[in-house]
Amino acid sequence: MPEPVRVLLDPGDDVRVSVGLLERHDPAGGLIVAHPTPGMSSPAATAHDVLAALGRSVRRLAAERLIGLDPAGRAVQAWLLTDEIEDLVVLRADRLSAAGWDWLLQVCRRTGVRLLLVCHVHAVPAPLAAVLEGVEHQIITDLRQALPDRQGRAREPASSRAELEPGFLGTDDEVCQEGRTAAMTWLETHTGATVLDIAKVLLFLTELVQDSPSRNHTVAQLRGAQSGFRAHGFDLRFPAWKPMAEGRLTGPGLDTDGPDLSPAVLERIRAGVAHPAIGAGIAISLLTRMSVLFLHTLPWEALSPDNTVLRLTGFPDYSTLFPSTQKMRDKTPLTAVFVVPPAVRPLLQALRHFTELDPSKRPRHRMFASTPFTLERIGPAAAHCAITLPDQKRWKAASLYDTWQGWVTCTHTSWKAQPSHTQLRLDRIFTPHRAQRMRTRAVQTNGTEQAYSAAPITSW
Amino acid sequence: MSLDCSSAVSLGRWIGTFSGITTRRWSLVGTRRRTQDGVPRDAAVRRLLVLRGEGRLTAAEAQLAAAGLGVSLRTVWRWLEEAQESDHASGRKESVRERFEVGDELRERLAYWRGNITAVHRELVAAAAAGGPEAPSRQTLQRAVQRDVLRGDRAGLRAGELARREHDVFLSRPATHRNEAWEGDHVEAPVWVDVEGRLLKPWVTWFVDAATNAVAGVAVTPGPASRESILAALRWAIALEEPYGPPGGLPGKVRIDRGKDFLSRAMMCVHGDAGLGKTLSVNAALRALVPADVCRVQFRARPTPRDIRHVLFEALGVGGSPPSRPIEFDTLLKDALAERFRVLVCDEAQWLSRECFELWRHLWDDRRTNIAIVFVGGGDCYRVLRREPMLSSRVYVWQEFRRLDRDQVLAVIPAYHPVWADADPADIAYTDAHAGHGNFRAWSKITSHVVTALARLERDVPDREVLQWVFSRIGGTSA
Repeated sequence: MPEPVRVLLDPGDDVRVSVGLLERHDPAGGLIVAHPTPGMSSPAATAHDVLAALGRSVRRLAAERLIGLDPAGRAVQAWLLTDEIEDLVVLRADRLSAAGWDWLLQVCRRTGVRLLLVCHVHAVPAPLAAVLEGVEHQIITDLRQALPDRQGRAREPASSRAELEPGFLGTDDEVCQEGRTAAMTWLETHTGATVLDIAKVLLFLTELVQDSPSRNHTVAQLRGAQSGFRAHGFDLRFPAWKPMAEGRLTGPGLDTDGPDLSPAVLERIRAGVAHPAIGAGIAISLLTRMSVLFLHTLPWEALSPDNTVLRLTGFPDYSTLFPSTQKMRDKTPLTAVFVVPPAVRPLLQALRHFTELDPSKRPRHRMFASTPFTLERIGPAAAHCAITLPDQKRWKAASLYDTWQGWVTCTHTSWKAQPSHTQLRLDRIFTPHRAQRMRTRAVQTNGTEQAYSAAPITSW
Repeated sequence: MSLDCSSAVSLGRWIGTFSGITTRRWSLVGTRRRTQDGVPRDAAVRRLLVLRGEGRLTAAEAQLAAAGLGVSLRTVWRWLEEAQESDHASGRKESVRERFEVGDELRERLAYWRGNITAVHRELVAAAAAGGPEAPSRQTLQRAVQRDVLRGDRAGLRAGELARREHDVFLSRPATHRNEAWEGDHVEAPVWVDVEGRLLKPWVTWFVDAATNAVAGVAVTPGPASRESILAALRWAIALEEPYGPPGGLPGKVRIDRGKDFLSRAMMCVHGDAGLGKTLSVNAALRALVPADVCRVQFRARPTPRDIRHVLFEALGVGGSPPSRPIEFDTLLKDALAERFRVLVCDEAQWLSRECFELWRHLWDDRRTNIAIVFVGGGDCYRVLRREPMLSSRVYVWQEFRRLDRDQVLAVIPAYHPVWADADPADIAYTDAHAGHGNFRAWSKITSHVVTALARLERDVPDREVLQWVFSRIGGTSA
């Protein structure tokens, strides 16, 4: 294992050293080569050079507020950790300032990255030697010692909904049957429970329809799941099928048109945005179709620690006048759960690192508290990446009120569905036998069975 | 009045430095003479003397120093004279010391003594004692060798070619089977060969089998390697019959060393005195070779990296407004230079500073850009570029332009313009000796005046009378 800090001396300034190292640049394999901008030696400029080496755009530094060393340095560390970079090579390091060297050493100490400084001089410059004092380092003159037989690691391919296998492409009844089977399999792990955590139910339903190729498939799968739940005595209710099938409601499985988190889109976010918060913001906006105005207050508790699930909770906004005939919900919170595709998780992880690296150590309860998270900043960044954000106009933007998940309820009953209910055309029939009706009504009135659990999840 | 901008600016900054931080430090010493504002007079005068020693001192710099010191210009001149007189009296020399550099002759001696610097120094001392040039000290020689001779070359001199190759940057590859991969390269052989009466250094192009190190094909050409020589070497490598075999056949793949010369992506330096047609020749050649891919950039005196960025921004036709930050600017330029192959012609390269060369190198080294750079410059362009180690291994061709000798003048000038077609060769030689001096720009001026004179005098052929009138117009010697 080589030393954490190495200095490669190349007094001849041989083209083969610089070009040979630049050709080894392989971010996916954990090695990046920073090529400092001529005439710039400050730590902030070095941070920008490393950002560029990481493949992030440095053309909107001012717009993303990454000019200073603090935000740029934190972004560099966040991306180094997220991309699991193991080796950082800095060319023409003899032209950096002492502060620049010091900053590089700090970054490598915090992130565990091995540092190779390439100096085109005969001996280590005295200021650099002073900075390296007390730091375990090695001085080498041969490029082969610099990167000895380094094996690039294999990365798992970025996957997203578009890359995953499409859902079951059968007739509606077959799709429905698949949903029913999946629901019954899931419920077998909850045998004996009479109260189901609505968040877990929503997570199951979301995972079920996440890769659905069309809204009709989604509706069919949800109907099947509903049937499976009823077979176990749970009255799983959804909003009306028609607005779901017509796209008047949003949520996983229904947003099959419009901008998608395809690998190409994610690659554009990675290459076009340097600020972790802005990159994560665009991704979450595309994933949830929610407005930036809603997302900017998202708490960290909404995201699971492993960045796999995003749970949005909020109370319905009744600022709009409702007709008196329409029933309004009480103070029950609306909940929607989104499964974060694997390719999106690194963006959220980078945001997590960026927030944790805040030197002020102020408590950050909100995900986007580390940066002014407004449409004025997210919109141009998305436009720079050639990405169209979901409609942000107040009267058009999606809210939890518009998701199908916000209307899902799951009630335990004392009866189970008849076998005939497995058929799609009969799925609306879910009534108890006449002898059971009176008893059920009495139980619900007494409140001995909790019908709905929407309490915020405090722990994942 | 000519103003050397860089010197003036550096002097101004330098004085500013002294009037700021350094002044406070020196005030504790209190032994130096200083002006009313506290600026050390000796230091400023010493700096001006250095400039005078280099022949770069102008009135503008003296004026700048006077303004910085808060005295009149006459006072500065007086101080300079006084200082120079006192230096002369004390035998002190303020001239710039020339750096000792390793030349070709010294390299030969080093090779003869297998890199033994002490032995070379002993030889130099002996030569100096025998009436030769002054020998440097052993430490100076050692420093110069360390600086000017590459580490690999030094190892090669000591222990041979294999030791030199140890310092080459080769990525280790596992040995495979014969003809799995060939490696192609070419080099100018360091020998002089008589080719039809002309001394030339031949070029060798070859393909080596990577597994066996057998030379599969080779081609020796009198001029620089070209497409033809590469194809000839390839033919040799592929053919198996005598005399080309037995090494050879069909390779699995062919590797070339980043392909700067094979792919024509290289740096080139065209240098020579002013008026020899460097820019014209480069432009004409590129117009014929890559008319749509040439990007010419020319700067005012002493450009900065910022100037280069802006000129490239304009020349490449990048839309929008230029970015303010260098890193954003460079990214934009690299994106533009990655679109397609381009040849960047940088004229008057002798004015470029190290930072400017750094910028050119930065753009050229980038993996995405697809450019060749041609540096064109007169005067001491060769020396300026050779001084930069970064360019030594990157510039592929150092093309020198020289004055036409008398035979070339007699062959070229009659074809250059109809007025010379029937001129007496003696008159052409006479013109070249007194005004032309083998310089095309001078010949262009002479020709223009000759055409005017012939039209006025209603003559067809220039004679001595016409030529002397022309000389009187252009300042050449008439006798």
